[in-house]
Amino acid sequence: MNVRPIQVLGVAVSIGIALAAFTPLVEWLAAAMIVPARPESAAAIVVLGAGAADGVLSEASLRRTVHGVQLYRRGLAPVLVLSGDPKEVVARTALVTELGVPLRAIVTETAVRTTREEARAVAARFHDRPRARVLLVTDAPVMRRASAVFARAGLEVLPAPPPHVRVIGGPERRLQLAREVLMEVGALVYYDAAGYL
Amino acid sequence: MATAAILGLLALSSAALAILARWIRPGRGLVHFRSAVGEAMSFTGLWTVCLAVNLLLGVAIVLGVRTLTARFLSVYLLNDITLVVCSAVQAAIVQALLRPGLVGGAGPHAR
Repeated sequence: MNVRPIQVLGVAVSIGIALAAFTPLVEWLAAAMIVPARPESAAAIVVLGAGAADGVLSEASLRRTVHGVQLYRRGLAPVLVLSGDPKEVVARTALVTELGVPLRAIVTETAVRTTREEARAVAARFHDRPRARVLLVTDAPVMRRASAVFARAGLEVLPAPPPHVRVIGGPERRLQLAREVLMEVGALVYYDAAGYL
Repeated sequence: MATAAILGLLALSSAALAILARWIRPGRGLVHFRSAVGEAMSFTGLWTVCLAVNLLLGVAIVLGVRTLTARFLSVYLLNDITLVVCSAVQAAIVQALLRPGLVGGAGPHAR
């Protein structure tokens, strides 16, 4: 039987999809990407943007915002920095004030579109305090890249991802996680190649 | 539980489809099954190539627009399941186009 290269690729991809959907392989890969949390005192809690549609926060944005509020209420920092596009930041500000964070403790960053721009904007706020410590709130798979970019911008980063969400829901959720992991690996490669890390 | 349920369902439907196929086309054996699996793998390979091309082209366009204009496009635009589905359609069409014996406008059915 004559096997063509395109068929070899098809077999490899099929095996990869089956492993990703029906085994814990992707959960192990995602766990390997996690940076351990360091919830210590800092100058600010920085909650990275994750998108909103029509003023409704995405699941990731909501998860990060709530975790930022939890850290603030534990007294780990006097300032809560909320970044993202203007609509997301408005929705986030409304939520955190409703959850008891005073307006004077909230700093917003809306002129940012990428993780790198978020890092630069936050670092600019602390330009008079080199190596200021910030608690960085973003999802666990993104933390490695985000921490590196913030450290490159001159800040001391204390990773503070929301609690790791264990994969529940079977094959579909595992495939979704596989997509997230692949995207983050792609982002890491791009940031590294562009010299952002 | 979901994994076992889905795998069980697939095994059941595959058995039913195999019976149906033998009923519609009697005499089809292991050789034909191997050939069909080979076709399916070719399709999956083509699908992967189409998706990779779409993603690479998409990233190039996003970065190009960012560099050449003042407009910002997010790479996350490409994180859409529609791209995966449309890449499958592209792969199906490419596979059909590459199949030997495809009847075209100049073929025996042309008027």
